[in-house]
Order: sequence, then C-alpha cells, then structure tokens
Amino acid sequence: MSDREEFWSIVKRLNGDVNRCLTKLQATAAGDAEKAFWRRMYARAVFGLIDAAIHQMAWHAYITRKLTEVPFSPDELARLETIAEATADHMATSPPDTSQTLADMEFAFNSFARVHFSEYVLPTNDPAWVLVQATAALKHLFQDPRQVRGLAVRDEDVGLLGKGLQWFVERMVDMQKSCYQAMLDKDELVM
Amino acid sequence: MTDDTDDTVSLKEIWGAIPMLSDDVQRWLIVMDETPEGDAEGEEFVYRMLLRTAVAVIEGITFRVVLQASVVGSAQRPDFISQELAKFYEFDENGIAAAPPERSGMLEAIRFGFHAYAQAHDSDYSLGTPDDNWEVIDDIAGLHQQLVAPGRVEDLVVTEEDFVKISRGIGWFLKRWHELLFKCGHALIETTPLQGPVM
Repeated sequence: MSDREEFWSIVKRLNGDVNRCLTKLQATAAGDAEKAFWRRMYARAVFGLIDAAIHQMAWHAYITRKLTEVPFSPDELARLETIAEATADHMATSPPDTSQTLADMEFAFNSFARVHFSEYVLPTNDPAWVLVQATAALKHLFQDPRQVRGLAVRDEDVGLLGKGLQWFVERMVDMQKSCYQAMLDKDELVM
Repeated sequence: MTDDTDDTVSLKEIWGAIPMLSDDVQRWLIVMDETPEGDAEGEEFVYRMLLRTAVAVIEGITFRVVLQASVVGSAQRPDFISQELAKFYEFDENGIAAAPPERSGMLEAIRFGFHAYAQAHDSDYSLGTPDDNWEVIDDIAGLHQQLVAPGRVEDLVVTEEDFVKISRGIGWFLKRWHELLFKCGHALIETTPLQGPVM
C-alpha cells in the first residue's frame, strides 16, 4: 500500500465510525436518552478523525522530508520529530493540547504540502474557516479533561461538526491534488 | 455544548460529568451485545469507540481526583500543592491544576492522583502492589495512542483481546476509585472532632 493509499485508508476507516454514529443518531427517536448518547459519540468520532488526520499529515511530512530534503526550521523539525516519536513508540510525550488544534492543523497541512513541493496553504481566510474554528472550540470543550461543562452535545452542534468536518476533508483532497500535481511537475512522484 | 463564561464551578459540577461518562461505557457494552455476530466492521467500530470512551473516563476521573485533592489539601496545608502535587501537575496562579498528566504515564498519574487525594483526606489509602491490572492500564493508554497517532491503518484495529483488556481495565479502575472514595469518607469520619454536647 502506498503512503497515499495508507493515508486515505485511515481517513476512510475513521470516517466510517463517524457515519455509523450519525446513522444511529438519525435512527433514534427524538427525546430519547439514546439520542444524547449518539450525539456525544458522533462528536467523539469526528474529533478522533480530525486528530488522526492531522497526525497523519505531519507524520508523512516527517517521513517525506527525509527523502526530499526540504528545509525546516529547528522548531518545525523538533515538532515533526515529536510527532514521529509518538507514532513509532505508540507513546505520547504529552497528551494533545486540545487548545492547539487549529495551529496543529495549519502546521500539518502546510508541512505536508511543503515536502511535496506544493505551495498549498490551508485557506484560513476562507469564510468557511469559522466552521473549523467552531469545531475546534467544541473539540476543546469536549476532549480536555479539565473542561467540566462541555460534555453535552446539542443538535445544532451535530450540524456544525458535520459541516466543519466536510470542509476539513475537502481541503485535504485539495491539498493532496496540489501535491500530486507539484510532484508531477517536478518529476519526483513518491507519494 | 454549554458555553458558560462564569468560571466558578462547584465540586458537584466538577464531578457531574462522570456518571454520564461511566454510562457511556455501559452503553457501548450494550451496543456490543446488539452487534450481529460476524459483523467484523461493526465490532471494530464498537471496540474503538469503547476505547475512546474508557480513556475519557479514566482521564476525567484522574483529573478530578487531583483537582479535589488540591482544593481540600491546600485548605488544610498551604504548602500542600507545592509539596505534594507540583511534582506531577502544573498549577495556575489560582492553585488549579492546569496541565494534565502525560498520557504515556497514565498508570502513574492514577497512582499519584489517588495518593494525593488520600493524603488530602487524611487517609492512608494506597493502590497496593503492582499486579496484572496495572499492566492493563498501560496497555489501554498505548492502544489509545495508536488511535490518536496512527502510523498505519492497522493501528486502528482494536481486537477482541484488546476489548477484554479494556473492559477489565476500566472495571479495575472504577473499583479502585470507589474504594478510594469509601476509604477517604471513612477517614474523614474518624478524624472529624465531635461537635456539640457529648451525651
């Protein structure tokens, strides 16, 4: 399996979890306590996909950097190495800082693009970026064990998370297309 | 999700999320029972989600144990945080735990948190000597890390054997936590002087 196929297999598998939770949520009658459970699990699955995809992009950037020798600053390199260690050992040096999701996302997208000679930059000036900002805010409330009031997920949150996730996945597709084209142009297709 | 800007939170509120998280673990066990036999993808989905939920329970309770220890302990001893808790947690200027423990040391975080809670409540409760269950907690932390930071698609596979470990680990953890609460409640009764007229 190529790196590219591996990447999308992971996204597809975790997106399957998101869809299963959504199907269960939609099949549960309104007002049922089960509904609240499936809303929470839908959120948990969405955040799981986002975390894994961010990690995958940064992990591939780390591996590919060795092949393409694209320069990174010492700070950027240290960040990539921390991610690589977490992947190799299945041990984290620290839990993900959920307040840093947006910064991690930008770093992962842009690092991945750079090592594939693409000039793609995550379009944070897109009006729909607010959806991702809102998704990240909900993620922080939900995942950080210090947040004591954020576990209830409302119906409107489900809609927001769906739109935020869709934008995120669409940008991954755009970014990978851009990388593919850049590698073709450079005649260094190693994805 | 609520977006309350009032930072004042009671201990009751702090612990309020835990029954919901514990119920979520129970619900996943029910969903597991309802999953048709032979539905490998369905089982894998349940295993992954149960793992995520179980880790949320362990991290959530461990954090709250430390938080309550800091509140109760510092009320009795001004140096309680600097002497007992600062080894493991970072605290903000208000003495509130600001940084959770490292996930790689989930077991150590539990041991530390339970010890601090016991000390703050004048109890000599201890988790005891290491046994097989301790390794299961470390396994759970490792499995969860694979979901958060997968290198390959195989890292997302949580097996039936893992499922047994997760069930055993969360059961062990909740039992020890209830034990801690019981022992500390008992210690509190023993050390609290009688008030009012003695018959």
